[in-house]
Amino acid sequence: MLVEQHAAPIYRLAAAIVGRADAADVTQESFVAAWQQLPRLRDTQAFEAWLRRICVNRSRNWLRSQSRRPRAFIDIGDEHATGSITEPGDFRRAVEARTILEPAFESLTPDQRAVLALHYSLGYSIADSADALGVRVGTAKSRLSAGLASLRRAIDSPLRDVETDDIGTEATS
Amino acid sequence: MNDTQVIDYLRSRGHVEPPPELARSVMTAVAAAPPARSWFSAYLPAVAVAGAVAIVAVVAILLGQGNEVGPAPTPSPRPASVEELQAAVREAVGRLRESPVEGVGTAHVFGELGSATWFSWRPGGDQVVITRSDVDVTQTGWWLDPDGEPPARGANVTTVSQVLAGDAYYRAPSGEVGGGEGWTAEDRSTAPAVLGIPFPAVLDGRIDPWQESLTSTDDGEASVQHVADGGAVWTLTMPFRSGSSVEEFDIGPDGALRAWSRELVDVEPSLEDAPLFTSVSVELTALADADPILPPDVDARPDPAEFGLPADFPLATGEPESEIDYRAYVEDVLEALETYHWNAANIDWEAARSAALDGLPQDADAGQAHQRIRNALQTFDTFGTVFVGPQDVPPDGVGPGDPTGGLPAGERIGSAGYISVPPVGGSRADDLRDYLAAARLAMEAAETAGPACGWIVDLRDYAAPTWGPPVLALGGLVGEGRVVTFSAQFGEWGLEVDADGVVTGGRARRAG
Repeated sequence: MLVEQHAAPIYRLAAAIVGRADAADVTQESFVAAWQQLPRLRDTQAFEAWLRRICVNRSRNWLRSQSRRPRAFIDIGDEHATGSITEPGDFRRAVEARTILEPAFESLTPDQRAVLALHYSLGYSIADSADALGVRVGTAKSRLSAGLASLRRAIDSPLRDVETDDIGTEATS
Repeated sequence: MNDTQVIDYLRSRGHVEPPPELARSVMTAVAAAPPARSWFSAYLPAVAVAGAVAIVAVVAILLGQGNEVGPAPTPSPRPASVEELQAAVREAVGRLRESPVEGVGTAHVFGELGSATWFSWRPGGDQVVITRSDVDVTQTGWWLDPDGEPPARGANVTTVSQVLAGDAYYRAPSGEVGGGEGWTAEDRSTAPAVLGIPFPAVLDGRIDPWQESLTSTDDGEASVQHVADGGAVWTLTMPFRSGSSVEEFDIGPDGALRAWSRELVDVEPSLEDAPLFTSVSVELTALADADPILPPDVDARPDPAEFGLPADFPLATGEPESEIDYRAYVEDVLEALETYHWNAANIDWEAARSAALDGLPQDADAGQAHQRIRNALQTFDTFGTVFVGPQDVPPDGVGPGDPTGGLPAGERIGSAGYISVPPVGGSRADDLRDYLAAARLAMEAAETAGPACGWIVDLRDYAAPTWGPPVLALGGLVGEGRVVTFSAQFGEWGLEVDADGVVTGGRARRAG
């Protein structure tokens, strides 16, 4: 029951951090770890946030372990993506953006990837993202800023400062 | 390319649908995974088998014994003087050292296996001593919390191989079983007096096993109990700190010492104990014949198995040296530095990585890896970050240079708060409570004029084997989450503070 309820959001979180190719494995690892650590969970009401934190930690560990191995493939597309592409021009620009931003995103540190994924990909507030990362809000903001700065450099086009808090108004936790 | 596209790209990463079979595969994996078990439970099957064998043996004895056949009654222990015990033990050690000796010892911290030592000793004093230590059990201070337990077990095991052969002393520390740093060779006169647990130094006549705790023979109580096989067990009980130390000397029917153990009873854990051992035992075997101890091949990676280390020797990690990826370790260190360094935003990480990784071979050894980390630090660090290699770590038993510390103190400097964090002044739980109370007062003192805009934490005088006290003292500043990260060649671990103020990893509890 818990698995059915939480598998999809945890999968999306894992996909946003580690990429779709490895998301199912990380999701599986997260649930196994959660089940094994369940006796330690004192506040059952906090299960969702607790599971999210486990998934973030598993994702970061996954990235660190993967960084030691040569990459066997590059994920160049995502047939499951359900973004808001409505026009042919949008599609071209989206592909262009992905071509440039994908490797830039993959070059970020696991912590930067995690906070960008939590906040922008999943829409969690800064506070909830910080909670999932186990860091203070200020730390999450600085990592968010550093991650965005790296993406800015990658596209070699100055971006305006993003108001981080207005992106996270769709917080789902 | 614009902001919108960047944000759209990031959003698209979360707009994916899970594969339809995901929930089922996850449930299958969860169902197949064993529940988390305690360390002890891993041994329950073996204990159960041993118990069954014991029961069968007892039944066999009961069934097989005749009316007039049975083991001789074991006499009760009789009191003895400490001098009697010392004379008997010295004679037993003397008998043992007539032959080559092999020994296996273990040391526990409140029931947790902390280290294991194997040695092979020759009458001339040449010897091999191999010690494996579980860092999480012996170094993290988890024993300060009455309900604490080690952060991990068996995950971070270090091995130190030491050889005394001829005129030379060889030493090879490593993070994993089997090698790492390579051998260093020095003159034999530079070797420590004790290479491991009290043995084999006791065989060398360098120390007595009771040396650490028996200050006067009037302090000890001794007894002897003769056992059925003709041997005898001598027991020496001595006051030790708040409790007592109990040593047992098992002397075989041939008059040679065959086992020694020491246990601390009711001894309050100390902040200064790292490593701490609450029980140590050694089994000794006289060898009828043994090859001489030869110098190791200093150009080869240390391999304890070459010296005859038993394959089932405890605390093996199962990771042969050849599989250690030291290049990946260097990458991990750089990543940890980039994540946690106080000045990370202003450091040229590309240059640092270049200094660390360019030209570093895939099969780099620990020595190469450590040097590259130092090279990387030189590219950016002005102060505050040092790399501590195995050769920089004081030998076991050597504590901080200044064991007497003060209490945290605070004041206001402009708009910033200042707090000094010295070593803890004592080793009792009360000392820690006083220390933490002082830290709280220090922070309050620094904020009497209103909230501080920032904090200056003065750690210059802090030198201690555990980071638990300063983390706890600064609990009001550091908040929750990981507050200290250690990176070693075998991985990364740290101290984390949860919402209740409990520190895990360092394993001490915030007072008040």
